[in-house]
Amino acid sequence: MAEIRFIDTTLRDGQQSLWALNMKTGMMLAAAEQMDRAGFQSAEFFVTVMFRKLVREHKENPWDWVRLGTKRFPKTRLRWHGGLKGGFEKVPMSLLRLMMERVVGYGITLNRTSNCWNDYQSFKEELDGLRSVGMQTVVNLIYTVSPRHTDEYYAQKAAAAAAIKPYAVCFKDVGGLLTPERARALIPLVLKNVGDIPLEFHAHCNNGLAPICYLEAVKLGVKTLHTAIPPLANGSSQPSVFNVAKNLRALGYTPVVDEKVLEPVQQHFTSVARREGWPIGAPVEYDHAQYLHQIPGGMISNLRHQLKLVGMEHKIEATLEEVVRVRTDFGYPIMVTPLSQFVGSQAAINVIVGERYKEVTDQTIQYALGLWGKEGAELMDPNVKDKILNRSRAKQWIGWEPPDPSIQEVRRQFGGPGVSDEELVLRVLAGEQHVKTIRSDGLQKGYLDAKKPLLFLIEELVKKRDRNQIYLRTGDLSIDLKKMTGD
Amino acid sequence: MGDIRFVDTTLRDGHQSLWAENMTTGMMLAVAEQMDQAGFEAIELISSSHLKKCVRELKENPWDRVRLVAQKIKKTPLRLIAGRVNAFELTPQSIYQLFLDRMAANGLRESRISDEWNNFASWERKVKSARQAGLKPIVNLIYSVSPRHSDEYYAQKTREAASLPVARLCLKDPGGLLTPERTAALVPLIAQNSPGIPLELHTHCTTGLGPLCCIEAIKLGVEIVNTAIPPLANGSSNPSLFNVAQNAQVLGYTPAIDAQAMKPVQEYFTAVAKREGFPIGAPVEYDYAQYQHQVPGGMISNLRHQLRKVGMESRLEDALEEAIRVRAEFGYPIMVTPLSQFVGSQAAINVIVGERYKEVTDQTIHYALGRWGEEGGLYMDPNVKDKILNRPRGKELTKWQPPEPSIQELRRKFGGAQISDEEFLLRWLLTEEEITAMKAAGPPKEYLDARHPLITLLEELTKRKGSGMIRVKQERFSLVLEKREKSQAVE
Repeated sequence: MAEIRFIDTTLRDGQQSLWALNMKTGMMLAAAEQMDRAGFQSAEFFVTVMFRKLVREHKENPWDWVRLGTKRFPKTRLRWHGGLKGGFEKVPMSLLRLMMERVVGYGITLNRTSNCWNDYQSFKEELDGLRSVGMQTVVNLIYTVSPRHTDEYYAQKAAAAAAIKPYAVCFKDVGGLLTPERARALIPLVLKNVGDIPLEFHAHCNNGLAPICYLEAVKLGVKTLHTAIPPLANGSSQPSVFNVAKNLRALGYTPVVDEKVLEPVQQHFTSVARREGWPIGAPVEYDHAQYLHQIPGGMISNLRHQLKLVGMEHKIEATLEEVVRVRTDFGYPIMVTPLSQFVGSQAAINVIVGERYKEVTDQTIQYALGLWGKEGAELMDPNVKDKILNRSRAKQWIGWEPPDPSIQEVRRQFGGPGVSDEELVLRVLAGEQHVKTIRSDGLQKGYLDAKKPLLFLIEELVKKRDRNQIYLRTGDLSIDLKKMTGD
Repeated sequence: MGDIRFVDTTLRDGHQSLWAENMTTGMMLAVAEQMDQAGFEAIELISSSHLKKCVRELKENPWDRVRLVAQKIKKTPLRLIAGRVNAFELTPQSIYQLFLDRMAANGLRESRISDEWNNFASWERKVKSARQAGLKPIVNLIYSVSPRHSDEYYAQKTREAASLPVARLCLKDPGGLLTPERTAALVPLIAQNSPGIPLELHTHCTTGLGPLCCIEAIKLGVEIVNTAIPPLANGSSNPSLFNVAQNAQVLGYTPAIDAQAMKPVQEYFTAVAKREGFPIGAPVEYDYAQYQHQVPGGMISNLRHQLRKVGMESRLEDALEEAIRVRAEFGYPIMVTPLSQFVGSQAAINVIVGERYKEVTDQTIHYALGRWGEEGGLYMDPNVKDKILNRPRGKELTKWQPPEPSIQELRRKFGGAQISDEEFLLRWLLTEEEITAMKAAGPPKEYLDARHPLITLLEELTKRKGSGMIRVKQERFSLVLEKREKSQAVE
């Protein structure tokens, strides 16, 4: 039967879902060459927010990862995650365009990105921009559950996505909400309506159902699946490449991936997890509550934190219920960043203040004005919209347009003509003062090569404080470690 | 919407699935009263396989277990799982009846009845035995996947079961093979064919779908589900009480149970697991291969072991594929003990010998002769059946008739008139040496858990080898532990 191809998400969505993007460059480099040998059709390599993470938290230069990492994937086509829209921080498009030019310069010529309203009209402009710098784009078709997101909605959106001629369309189940039943209803519609544009399937395991939805999808004709390598699979991440490949083989398909090659990669990341105390992705129980509020797990802990600050932690259940109502008032946005954040924050405020929409965030006003997508303004309950906009603060935002500075203007603001393109990207995305803290001595050591068990052993042994001497002997090799005196 | 009621499986299927039945009576007694307060519809306590495990390995008298637990669980009906008394030997009806009588006398109130062929005559006999013993009979409709196990099959089997004086039916999915779609197909069909008889769902999480199937079943009108308390839920066990109760609640149903009151029980069994090195049940990934060979996980490790003994461990995949073929030729028996074992062993032999059915087990012959259910003889591929029976051993066993001895006859063989019924049942099932060793171990021990911090402290402190003396002092309390010489220690 048919060949099924895999897109690996380990280094991007895998670690973003489970390790809060905490991997240091060395940890990734150590596994890269091995991953390249597995036969992936493509591998997710970087997400724009990693600039900030690597600089601010690891004091590493993200361009090092781009430069060194791309060299270690000679066979696999790498993917950037993100596009030309800045999202939360409204990063200037000119800067993101410069970033993409540099990225293309390193040989990454494929990206995947979303519009949180599945609005392909506004997507088209972005797609053209990406194309002009040499980037091919996979556009997401995001799945969600609401009275508005009907079969007809997805049929129509699939056709609209295909109409802008992307490299591929990716049916993306961001909340892990798809069930086998919904998969059977939607995938044939989507497949039919994307026509000759290839369809990829990307789902999360939040409800434990993604591994089975993948099989349903393949049975219905999908040929490209997004998977991760354990321990960065399962949990709220993608299904495991091992699990999906094995099940596909049992069903008579030919998974185009060499799992043997990936076993050492799994071992490497498992030992990283143990050493750093990071979670091992594991399957979870089905949780029906996720279908009600659709709030990502990370956001629930955030809401709880907000409530705790005002001594109202016991109102968490009430807040989650309010989230359901606010989402309805807002016209059922897809619960992805940033829209899910707007809904969640406004719900928390409504509960804390005790009167709905008495206080609103600026983002709520912007949402009502259509600044975060015209659908927001169109679909919002008109009475709620009136209540939100009928205040002086709202007047200030009417007619506001996000600034769109040219790259020259951005450069003037961040150091002038002496600043290199890559440095400029770092300064804007990670903050100038943080860029100064990047280690001058290059990448952090320790994970640069997983094939050095002896070093690791010695490191661990010298940590043992209760022994003065350790002597190991196997065959003709012996190691003698002796404690030195204090001086 | 309706109330959802829960049958707890922790003390039976939970540790049978996950801890290889290693939960001792003492471990159960420590939380039995608490579990009795939760409002379970019933609590599963024991099945015949636990009898052997108790005596042979735990060195505990299973009858003591039943009596002691029944003294603590008084409000909630305790349930017996009553398939066969001995899974691998044919059980005379007289033994089956005595087994149920003694369970009832010691405090059990319900009997969930199985026949691995969903065979009417067997159900009828067992329902009658249960009624006679004073146990409420619940009949299992065992779920399986095969061309023979169609919707029509389950409709027919439901009608048969419903014609008996049963208290309830239970859709039992031992392999965790049920999917939401199959649940949606079967539950309404069973309900239609058993009007007025309540239906329970008992499923396993072997492919991760158990929790979802429970929810599907509840939406279709099932009001009683079998669940376990973590860490004895998930994995190859039943869904978690907490998970199903919460999902039911979210869907607008009212779980008729105080699930939160079971949190301390979860903590307790988690502490036991950590202390004893027993596994913590966790959800698993969907595994399609389970639907193909349907060989239970425990059996796969067994097959691997058999193959390894003859240096053929590399042939495991072949043996599993052969199991699929053997099952088809055997007429698609449901893959439960003992039938799954017969299929698995024969498949391993076929692979090892290199010629199919050149060598066969006695159980394969008995199976072909219909001694493990007439269906075995009826459904088996006729050519395979000929090949199996057309050998001297086949002819020999054809002539043999399974005896149906009376209790008196069996008693003469196993200990005479002076021993009690319970001792007699143990002797029928086990060897005298095993029973003697069990008795020598004394009555079930109390299981001291974290709620005895001082004892734990002492235990841990005495494990320390480095120090000759340990002194713990608090305001008005001091404790001194001193290491003695070996000779002194033996006092």
